Amino acid sequence: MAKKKVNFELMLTPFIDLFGVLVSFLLMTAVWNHLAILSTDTAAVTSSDEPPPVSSAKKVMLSVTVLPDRIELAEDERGTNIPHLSTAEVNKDRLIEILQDWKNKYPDRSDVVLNTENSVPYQHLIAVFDTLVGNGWPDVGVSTQ
Amino acid sequence: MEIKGSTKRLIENPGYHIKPKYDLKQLRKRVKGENERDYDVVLPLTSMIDMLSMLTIFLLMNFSATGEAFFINKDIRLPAAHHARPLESLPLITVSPNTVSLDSDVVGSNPTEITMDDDIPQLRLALQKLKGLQKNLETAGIKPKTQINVQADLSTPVLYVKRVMNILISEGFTGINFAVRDLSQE
Repeated sequence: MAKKKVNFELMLTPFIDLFGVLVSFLLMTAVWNHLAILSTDTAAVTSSDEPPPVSSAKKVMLSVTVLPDRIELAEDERGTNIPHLSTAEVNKDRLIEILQDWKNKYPDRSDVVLNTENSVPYQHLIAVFDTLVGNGWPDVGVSTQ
Repeated sequence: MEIKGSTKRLIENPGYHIKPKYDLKQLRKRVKGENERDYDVVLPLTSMIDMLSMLTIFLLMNFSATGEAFFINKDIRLPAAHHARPLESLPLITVSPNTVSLDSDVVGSNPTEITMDDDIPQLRLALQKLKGLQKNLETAGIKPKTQINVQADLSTPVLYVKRVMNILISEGFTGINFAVRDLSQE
């Protein structure tokens, strides 16, 4: 009785060719930096010569001001200060607590004005912006004043 | 060659069996012709295939089908954010420590001392040209893009970014997107 052939030869050459082409293609299309955007609609908050439209109910002005050594959160005239943890890091935890407090007080609101002092590093602006967007305040207007 | 008998014996040609005190091994090899180089090269295919498969898996995980171009300046370290949204293909303004660029063209400089009133005339001209192009697109029925991407180094004072923002707003680009490093996928 003829024995079954058990020797099986793998075709390595086309296998390696396939891998070579796949690796070249994937190297060309690989994404090394994941980038994203934080968007702001400045038309809503920049100053203009026209007076703002008068609404029947007085809307509380919510603003966050980033200064070199602290963050000031203001509801109209009432303010809260949050000192930075260090020159390179803002106190996000305390900021989140206050934002959640604001959310409880004003559940229908999602807009806030973000002001910055001119010497503040750009990373602080982005850090506060990101914290606002991630904690229920997606409509952030960046003031250019 | 096997010989019939009670025990099996293998007859071999007698080889070199005398070992003198000073054995010239290399000379013996050369005389016999055993000193030839072995030209058969054995490729380590198993390890090559392992390496290729690891590389393929790694690159597959980094694959992106969107294929959007984004000019990343080597002088710029982007700040990171966790709650950003995907990048859109829009005109890009780069505020580096020394220059301001629109896409890849340098349109202004960043002196050490500036004020908010300092203008960037070349940037204004470039934005006006862009606005004109978008008006043409509008007449052709394509919705114009009023948004613009801005990227800056994380240590840049906000004044430089605000100056650019003021110019953008005055030229009608009110939708400003700040480009950041996306940490939500990490």
